[in-house]
Amino acid sequence: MTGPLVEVEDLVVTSGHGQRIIDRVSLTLDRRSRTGLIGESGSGKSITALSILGLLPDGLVAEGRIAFAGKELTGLSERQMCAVRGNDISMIFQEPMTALNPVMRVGRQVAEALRRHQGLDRSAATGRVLELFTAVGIPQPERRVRSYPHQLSGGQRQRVMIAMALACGPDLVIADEPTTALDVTIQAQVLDVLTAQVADLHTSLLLITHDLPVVARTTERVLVMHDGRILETGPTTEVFATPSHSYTRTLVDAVPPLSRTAQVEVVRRERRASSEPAIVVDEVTRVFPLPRSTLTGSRDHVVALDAVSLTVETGETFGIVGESGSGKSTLARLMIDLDTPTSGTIAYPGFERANHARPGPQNGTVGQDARNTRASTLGSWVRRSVQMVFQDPMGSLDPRLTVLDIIAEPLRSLGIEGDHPARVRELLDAVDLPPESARRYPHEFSGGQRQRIAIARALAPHPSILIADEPVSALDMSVQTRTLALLADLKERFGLTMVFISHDLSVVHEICDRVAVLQDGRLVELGGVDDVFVAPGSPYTRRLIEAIPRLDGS
Amino acid sequence: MSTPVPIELNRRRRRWKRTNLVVGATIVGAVVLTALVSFVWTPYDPSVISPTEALLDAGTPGHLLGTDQFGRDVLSRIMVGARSALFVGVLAVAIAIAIGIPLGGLAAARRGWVEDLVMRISDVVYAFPAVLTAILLVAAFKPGTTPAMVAIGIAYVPIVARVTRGAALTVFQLDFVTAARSYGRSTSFTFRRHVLPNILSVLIVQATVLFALAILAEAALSFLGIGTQPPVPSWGRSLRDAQTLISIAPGLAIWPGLAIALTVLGFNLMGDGLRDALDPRLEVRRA
Repeated sequence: MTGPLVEVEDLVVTSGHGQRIIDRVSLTLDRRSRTGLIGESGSGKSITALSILGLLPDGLVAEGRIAFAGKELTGLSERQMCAVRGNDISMIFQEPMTALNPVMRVGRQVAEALRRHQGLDRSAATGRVLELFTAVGIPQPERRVRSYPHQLSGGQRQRVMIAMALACGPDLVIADEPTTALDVTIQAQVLDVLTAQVADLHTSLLLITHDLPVVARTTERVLVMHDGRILETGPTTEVFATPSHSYTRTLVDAVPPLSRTAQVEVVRRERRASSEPAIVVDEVTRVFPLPRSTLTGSRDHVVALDAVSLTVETGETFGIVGESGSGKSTLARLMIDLDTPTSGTIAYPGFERANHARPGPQNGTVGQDARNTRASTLGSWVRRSVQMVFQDPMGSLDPRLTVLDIIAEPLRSLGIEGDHPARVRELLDAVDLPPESARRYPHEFSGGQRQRIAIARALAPHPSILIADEPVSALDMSVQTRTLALLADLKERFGLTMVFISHDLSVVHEICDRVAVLQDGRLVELGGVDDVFVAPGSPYTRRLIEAIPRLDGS
Repeated sequence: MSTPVPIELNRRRRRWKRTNLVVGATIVGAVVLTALVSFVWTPYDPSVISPTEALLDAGTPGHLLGTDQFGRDVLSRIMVGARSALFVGVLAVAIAIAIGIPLGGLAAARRGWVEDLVMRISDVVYAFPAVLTAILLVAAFKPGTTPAMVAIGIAYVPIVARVTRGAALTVFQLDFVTAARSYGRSTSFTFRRHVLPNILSVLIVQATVLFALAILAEAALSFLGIGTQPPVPSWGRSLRDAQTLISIAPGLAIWPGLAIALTVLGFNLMGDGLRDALDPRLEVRRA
């Protein structure tokens, strides 16, 4: 058969309120092609894919023409669409944990699709599942087919999703942010498996993502979407090298230098740090007990941090990188006294401490003494002078409070006197939000704006140390750039010391002066960004840097 | 050429749920209104005995639903009975909430042995049937609506505590709670200010359902003779009195039975509808 695989013509998707979410989108996908669909959140990229599958969320209405392999999909009944989905077109979702049925063995879930769509009998299906699991690189496939989703790692779950998507030999696989939830080394492996498998099976791939380097690494052609329209389309390398639309150029410019090319630039950032320490982490170990497996059995433990020692200097931006489970968030929680180390100490030379008391009151009575205006104990000093910005700007703001109340909360809590509304206006101005924002609720803001509110809240009690735990990971690329610039600017303006925690090496490379690399709770590398990124001392750091997808496809 | 492709999945289900809410709220509204009206007007005095008019059929002029074996007007007694029904609901649910929410919140906030202790005690209380607890309490004190409903309220504490704990656990995991701790808010303040408002919808739904259960429990206890005491009219009591006359005057059992069934149905429908109306996840996602 010849002709394009998918033809979408003048697709318009309208919401119940008559708002156009997709505005006359036309696109064609060739057979055996790998196409990227990029855009930021709200650009309509996922909705476009769901329209092709006929899976639009409730309340959305699509018009236009969608043809698949010369067959009109428009106007097919739900039953007819069901035959197309899974068999001819399949989909890989971002979060495999929710896309897989948690109470069904993964092998059976894949076999189910084979038996329904391909009419295979039980033993043939089981055999095919084993082949698929081997093909997508799941270790010990014979054992893994009998596992439940929660027993697999994130990368393995996504491999199962890929196996499931490829099970019936579809003509098209649509992957919606398939690696966004994965660590960088796992992301690289999963992308390689996906690319190899679609090539083997002569399947076309439509990869939807906000991540330009991922598209560069995986696809031949790219479509750029913005506000429900396709702005630019062309060969991936060409579009990224010489973007013709200004919006594409903004996206390309937002890619941090480390994600552009394997040639790591030396930043030669002048050291702004004084040699005065701000936080001294000394041999800190944090062990978490696991629930007992039996009533009388011994308790297992997880070592989240293993004898980590480091010093954050006053005025610097100190990066902490690591993959999930490396202990970086545990370290953040310890630094802000939300948790106490099992052994070791964390000291804040900024507070003239009288004795070697551990920071903060113990046994869960956190905050009892923080109501004193005067910082009389180390604990209350920490509560006032060390503030945190969280990853998820949706979860870190109470949806039932106005922005005014949210930002004024720390002031009230810490008993800081003064004109709170005026202080809130000042802070909103500092993070470039209009003063009217104070009366509104978090859900009325975009992700980037919400993160600005969270930053304003953190700055409210005039802290000297700001701990940012993945502050830009949940944001779109261009918003990321702006938020990073804002953080850097505020740090200068208020003379802050910043601890910047991230899984994203490119971002750390861009903003930090020094960086610590954590692996499985251990500190594997510590040094200036230039030293660490240009000439990594540990093999693990080198692996991390090599796994970063680059805009030039290398 | 463009052909419209309307794709609907859950719309019908949601419309159905909205109908639930409207019908439920209408029934509940009617019961409340009846109870209120009964304070100022009933067709007859519900406790005046009139032997000459005993056991009139429904539809008799002047007695729309007939009269009982003492000649008391059934409609009037049902109207006044609505008061008892609502009173017991309010009392039992108020007790359950007043104790259950702080306990559930405590369990969710403290975790560890506090949580274990609270939840295991809940399990023990929960293992006793509500009506049995009520009988025990009434045996220890005296029969009557208030002790019976205190017992029912206490029996519902574990339900409220569990629901509160479950919902609060999720909210306690969220970063805004961590943020509040990081700038020094106490746990109880965090629970009241940040957690409770965010789980209120779940609790409202639970309270509505418990309200219906309490009305049923009151009817059952009054039927057993240990709930509302004569001469105060109560639907359960009327059912008990109608028991011996069921073959000659079935209407005496039908009307209060219908009142109980309708009221319980009303509260259940309302609870079901509220669950969806208050669940932000079921709102149309904003584009």
